[in-house]
Amino acid sequence: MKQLSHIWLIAMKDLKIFAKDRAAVFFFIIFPFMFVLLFYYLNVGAVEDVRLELHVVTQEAEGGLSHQIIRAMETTDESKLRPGEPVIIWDKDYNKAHQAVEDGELSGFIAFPADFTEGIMTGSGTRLEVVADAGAVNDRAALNGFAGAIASQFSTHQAIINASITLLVEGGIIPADEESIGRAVDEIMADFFSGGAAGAEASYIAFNIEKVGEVEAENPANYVISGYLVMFVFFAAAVTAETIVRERQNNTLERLLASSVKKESILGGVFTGTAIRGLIQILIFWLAGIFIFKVDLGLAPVAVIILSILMVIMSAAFAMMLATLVRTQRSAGSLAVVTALVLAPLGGCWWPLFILPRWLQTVAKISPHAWATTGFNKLMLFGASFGDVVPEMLVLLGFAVVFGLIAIWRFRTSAV
Amino acid sequence: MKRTLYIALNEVKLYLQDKGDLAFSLLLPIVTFALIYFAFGGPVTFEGTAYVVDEDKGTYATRFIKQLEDFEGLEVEILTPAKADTRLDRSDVQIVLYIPAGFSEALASGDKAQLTFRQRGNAGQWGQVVASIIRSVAGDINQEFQVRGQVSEIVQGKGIAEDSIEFAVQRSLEDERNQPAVVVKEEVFGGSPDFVNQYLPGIVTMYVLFAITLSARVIVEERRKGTLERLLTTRLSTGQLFLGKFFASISRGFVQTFILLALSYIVFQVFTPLSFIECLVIAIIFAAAGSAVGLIIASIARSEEGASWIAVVFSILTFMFGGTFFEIAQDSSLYTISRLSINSYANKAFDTIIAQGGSLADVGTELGILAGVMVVGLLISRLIFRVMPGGR
Repeated sequence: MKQLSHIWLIAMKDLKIFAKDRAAVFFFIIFPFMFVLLFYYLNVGAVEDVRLELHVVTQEAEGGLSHQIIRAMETTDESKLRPGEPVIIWDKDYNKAHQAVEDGELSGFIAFPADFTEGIMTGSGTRLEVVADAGAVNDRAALNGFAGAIASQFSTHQAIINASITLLVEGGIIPADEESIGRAVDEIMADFFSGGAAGAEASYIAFNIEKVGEVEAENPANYVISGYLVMFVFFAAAVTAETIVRERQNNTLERLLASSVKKESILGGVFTGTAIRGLIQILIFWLAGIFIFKVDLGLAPVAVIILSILMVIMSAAFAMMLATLVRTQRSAGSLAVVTALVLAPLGGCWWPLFILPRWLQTVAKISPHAWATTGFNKLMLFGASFGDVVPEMLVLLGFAVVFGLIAIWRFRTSAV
Repeated sequence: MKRTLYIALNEVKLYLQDKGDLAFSLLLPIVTFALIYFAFGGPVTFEGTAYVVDEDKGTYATRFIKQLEDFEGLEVEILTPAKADTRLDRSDVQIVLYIPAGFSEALASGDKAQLTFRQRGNAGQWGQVVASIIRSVAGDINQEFQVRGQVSEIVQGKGIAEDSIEFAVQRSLEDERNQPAVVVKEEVFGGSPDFVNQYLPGIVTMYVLFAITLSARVIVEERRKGTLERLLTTRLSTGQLFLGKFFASISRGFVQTFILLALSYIVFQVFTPLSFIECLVIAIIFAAAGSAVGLIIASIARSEEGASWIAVVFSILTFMFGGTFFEIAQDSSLYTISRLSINSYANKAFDTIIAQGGSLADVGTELGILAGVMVVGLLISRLIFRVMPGGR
């Protein structure tokens, strides 16, 4: 009981010091909202749900197979497209289109080569060229997908021709001479292209599209607030390490020991003080988020709260550990700033983690920030349920336990 | 002047000997740049998630989902029908693929099967790309059935056995997989060089300003401990001490920028010898402007912590509004605010030299403003600079 009382008194002492430090209060309570406001207004806007525009060019002369294909694909009336179907635009000049991509004015296009028909008809094979701007990720992927679909259709035709001719020859239905085979191939090909859309009707897998509403704009606060909450809760806790080192250096901790306060109570008191400060921070963050920025806590608000509390506990444990690993106040301060500023962008506090390359998302998992922001994003952006974020909660708890154990093992009250 | 320069030289020596300081001022910008480079600067490919409701769970549905999972850049998340509906209702996801019960059975019996996209509007850009990938993968599965179906139709009534048809179809599909009739070749423009130009100046100026302003803490500490006052007992005057601290800060900022720019020169080859020298000129003027601000912080802060907070808040606001991580549109109100950030002028000057191949003559305005900040900052800080708490 006495120990608990000591823990409480030390925690309250730390909180009082924090409350009196106007600069610190400004930095950890007011300052984060300047970021939130800035990124909220940078990202807020009307939703854009435009169709992808895919440009197609051919280098073949008029009359070539590619002209037939493009004519069949080209969008002449956008109102007839089904939801999500791309607009196909036929560009007539290959060089102009190529220059436009080089100049960054066009995201990309698909080009049929000058010998496309010859390559198909003779069976020697041909290629489709996708010319794209590296930065136009979506258009590039769509162009490649579209070109792949055209290529796949021709592969299907080729496979049909090869299998049919083999069977017809082997079954003695047509003679094995070149002329007869050529005639049979022409007949099969004529059948393919008579429909115009190159056998699309023969597809065994059809797609039905059901529209269930319109795309709604995402409230940027849903990811901005959680990101800066994680960053500043960790930052505020990390700099506490400097205070602990200072108290160790000026023998405050030793004096506390002399007054019958146990080492565990000191550690518990500083931890509790840091954690309570973090809890105040998250309370302010979420209240401002809900009432001012109208954030949506998703289907499992309890999970958001538990995740926030675990973030606070982990951050406080980290501060304890950092204080036990460094010798000087300056090192503690520098390392606190360095870790806070490196782990924040790495862990998805400055930008959502899911927009980063997958391998970097994997690397990011070395930081507790990444687990916290992933959990918040799952809950607040993708409609996850409580069960979906249990792994993130467990990992944060794991970080807290590891940091806490190191802190207990290394904790010294004396600077010597 | 000799003593003033000696103070500056001594500070640079101390800076280069302090491992912690070096880590903060050199390693941190390198780590940040590397992070941003790998996050946004490398070859970017599409990455998305396909949300799938599998009500079939048969052979072909499982194979289809497996093929989707194998598609590079695509992740598959299986949802229950209820979860999918809730997420679509809440607009948490824009498109969901439903594989209806009986899908596999229909294909296995040679009938046509249907897949359903339930989506909001056009499903957004990501949704449309995901849909195109799904269609393309479905096309691969369809190929097998289409070839079998059409070959059977062509040879129908010609007395050819089913197993012969199956054998010919499989062999033909195999040949086509190994040597497709049409291949897709990609030619890509743009990429990392623009990225280096876009982010490098911002990150360098951000950390240089951070380091310079944070060093205000040291001056406050020296004042509190009486070190500055003791220095006055030598033949140093307050003015010389003030200038010494100013030059020390410039030298430190310049050395830091020099090392970072030299590393960029070696790694990214973004400079010519002339543009490198021009960038060093900009670096000196920027360091001077930042140092003057650092001296103001050192003069007004009462404690080391106070100096640190002011420096951190000032630096963060300055680099955020300086267009370090995002371009600020000229017609926005943010652009007006960004004019108050010295980083925006330094970044613009660096960008003009590095990315646009300009010369120092092209960045006269920016350099003039930075020099102006330095002069005004020096005047203000000299007026309020004290060597002892509450003293002269």
